Amino acid sequence: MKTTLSIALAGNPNAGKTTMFNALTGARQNVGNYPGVTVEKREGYLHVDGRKINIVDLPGTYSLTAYSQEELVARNYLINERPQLVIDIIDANSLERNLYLAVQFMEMGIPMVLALNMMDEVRKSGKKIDTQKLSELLGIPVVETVARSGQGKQALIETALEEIREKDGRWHPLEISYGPDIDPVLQDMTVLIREAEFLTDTYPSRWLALKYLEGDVQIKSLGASTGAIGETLEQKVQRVTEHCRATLDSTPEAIIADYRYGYIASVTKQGVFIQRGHQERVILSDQIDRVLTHRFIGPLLMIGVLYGMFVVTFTVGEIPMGWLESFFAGLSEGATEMLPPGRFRSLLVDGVIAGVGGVLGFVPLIMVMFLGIAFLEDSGYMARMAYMMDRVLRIFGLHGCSVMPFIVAGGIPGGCAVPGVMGARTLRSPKEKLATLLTAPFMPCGAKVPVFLLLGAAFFEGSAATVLFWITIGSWVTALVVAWVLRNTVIRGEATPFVMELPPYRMPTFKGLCIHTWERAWQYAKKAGTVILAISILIWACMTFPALPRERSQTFEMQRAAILSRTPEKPDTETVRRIDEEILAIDNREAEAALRHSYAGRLGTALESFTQMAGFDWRTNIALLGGFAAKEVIVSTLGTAYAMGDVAPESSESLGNRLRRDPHWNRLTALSMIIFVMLYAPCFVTVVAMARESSWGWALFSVTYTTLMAFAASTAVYQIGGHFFSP
Amino acid sequence: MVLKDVSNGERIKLLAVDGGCNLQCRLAGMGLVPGMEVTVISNIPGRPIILETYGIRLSLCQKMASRIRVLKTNNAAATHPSPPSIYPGGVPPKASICEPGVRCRRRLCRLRQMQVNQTGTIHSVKAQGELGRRIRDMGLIPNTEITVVGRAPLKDPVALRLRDFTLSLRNNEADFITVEVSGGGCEDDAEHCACG
Repeated sequence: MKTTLSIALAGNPNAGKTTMFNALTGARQNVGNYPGVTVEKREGYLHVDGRKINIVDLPGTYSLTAYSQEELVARNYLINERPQLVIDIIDANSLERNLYLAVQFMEMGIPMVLALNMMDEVRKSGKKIDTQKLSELLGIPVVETVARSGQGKQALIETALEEIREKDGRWHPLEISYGPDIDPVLQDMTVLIREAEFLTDTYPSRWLALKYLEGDVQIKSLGASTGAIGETLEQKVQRVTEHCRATLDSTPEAIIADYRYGYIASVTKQGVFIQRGHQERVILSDQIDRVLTHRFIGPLLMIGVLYGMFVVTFTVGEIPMGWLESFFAGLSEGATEMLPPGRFRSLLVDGVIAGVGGVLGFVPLIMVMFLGIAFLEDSGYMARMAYMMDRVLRIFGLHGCSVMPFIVAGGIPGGCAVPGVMGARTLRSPKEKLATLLTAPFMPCGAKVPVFLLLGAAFFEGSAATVLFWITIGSWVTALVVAWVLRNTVIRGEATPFVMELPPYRMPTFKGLCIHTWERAWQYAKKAGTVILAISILIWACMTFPALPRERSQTFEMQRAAILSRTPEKPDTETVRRIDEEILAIDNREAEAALRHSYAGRLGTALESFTQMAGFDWRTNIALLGGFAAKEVIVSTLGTAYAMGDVAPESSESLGNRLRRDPHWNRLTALSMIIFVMLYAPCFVTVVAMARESSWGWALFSVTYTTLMAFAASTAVYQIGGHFFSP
Repeated sequence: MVLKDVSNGERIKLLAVDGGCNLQCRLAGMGLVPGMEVTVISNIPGRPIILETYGIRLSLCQKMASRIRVLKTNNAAATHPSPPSIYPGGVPPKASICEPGVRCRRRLCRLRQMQVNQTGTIHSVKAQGELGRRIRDMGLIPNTEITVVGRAPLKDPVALRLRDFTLSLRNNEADFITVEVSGGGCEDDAEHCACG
């Protein structure tokens, strides 16, 4: 026997699988993705008697078909990695449905232990489950557990180890009858498969035949690539399918499912399960639902919850964010003082510290937001939100769960697309998730708001709030319409079935919430951090190199010298102030010249002839290019480009005045820029997060289509507007 | 012997149905349970068999009939004189399930039409593919008792209570599920009775 054992945890969603995983492994866990898919893979380990036991938390599934990624991942893991044992965590409150998955594991034959979880609730509700009898009838060890308190986990591990010793790696597929229509052909096919040795080294042959009858896409494609055997099997399936349709008006798949439930019923009806009255928790849950999903009160409460969560995320998150910001500010100040001025200092301060600081600045936001999401998910409210919102979002090809990412991304202005995009992982349906990911960044995030406020205040006097209001409405409309367009073009396809459990309300465990939150924040900091560091250095380089040629910087130097030389021996304060101002003006002009001379400046200038169509000059271009790194940069770059020095996004009145005086700017230009900023590519941090949740291909697609769309919209507004109201 | 081999006009007693729950339930839903007596009105090879029981006519396909074991009772037409076959060619009546005018207390309606707090038993699930599988994975199979516990603010999706948990589905998904409700009506009173 190997010294390292591996045990897989499987079970229905909401059965307490992850809680059990946390109880077993504590903090010794590692979260990653399964290769090639974005399904989360959690691994942890524990030591028993000096033996290391690897525990893999399989994604929660109701069944083992090839339809959803989660199910496929779980199945492939069992088949390919062949863990020594599966622990099926069962919510004992709904024993029969949970056993449906267990029966499918039994059909595969993998050694298994059943953990009847939430036994405390079962006992309280007055139900009785005869664990001993259940174990005898199924021929599988059964352990009672309460994952929340860790009760029974010792017994569970001991039983698991014993079962591993006993089974010693042998798989014993359960053979149940699927009735007179299926059984004969199943037998036939099993023999055929065994004779042809079709995949028999990896899969049990009867299981393969069963999957064929169930129309399993993965197995069928394996069969098709093998040739003759696949064809023969297909023909048999076809015949029995036709027969079932003609005689029973049913499909083999449905009949098999019926017989599985029949088998389960035959087990539970033998005194395993005694129910007295209704379950307390269900009744309580119903009463809560009567309020929380009420026709009128429900949506209002939901808006309240979403708004509350939004406020909490950004007010609570701001506090540690402030600490981090001042920490990095101190760091860059220290570096500025310690190091001599020059390239290296600039790289360290403006590139590395600013870049890493910018990335880590998001961590508190992400932690608070995930704490909120984890709470909503674990408590069961998330499912209710999806339930209430689904009818509306479905029109646009989205899912009820899409509402959360939209809100967090800035559906209420001031959000952030990064946690928004990461929040989209709560969507279990791949197409809807992708559409949500690709459209959530349209929302006015906190970094875009200063741009809107600047332009709103400068060009739409006194109505900045109105501008922001309409921008928010516009963003929602855009996001939904684009989602609809995407779902009807590139991500076309049937809506993923909504069939969704509404789990009873539960108080989430504090430990679980902390682990979830920490994990996600860490993942983000680690993965996104590396890429974003590289990109921020790149962007720094683009805006710094090549430096101004010597003779030009000398000109600025000479101007400064000239002013200083004019200084009287004993200047009064008024003169000092004036001189300082003049020198600052020269510094700013130099910064402007340097920026224009840099690669970014050249790119901005080169694009000018093109972007002129939307009313953008080279200065705007550079600012927008900088906004690619982070939207916060737009205002400050615009400040540099207009030789205003560093402009803080919060106090941009001077820049606003400057823009208003500029002959190049007018209301139309401002509107065009607002539209562009509203729509164009998400910042790099978001793009990286997006790539993590989907793929780099989709992330790049998002960058491209949003920018093209933004440019088209801005140009249209600028051109058409210019036609009607000549500025 | 099996029902298939019974000739026209003979009276028989049902012994057993060799079939899965699906077939048994379906037959039971039509009123054919072991132990009852029926008269074979018409049995022409290749055509559906027509039976009569308590004045109600039913038609069955030959394949189904081959799985119903019966016993001849030989007191043909003693209690229920078999009327002359009104379908000489063995053409099944269109409704084929029950005689028009016969009132049936149990009614079938689509899940979408059920009212909140109404309880019923799933009669059939016609969904296929992924949707069908998801529905079955959740335990929504024939003969399961469900209660509609709520509808979302815009009346869609619908929330159902199975015995020990709650789930929700969209109305267009619920359309694939037919439910037998006892008493009360559906939202738009279903026209067909539970026999079919």
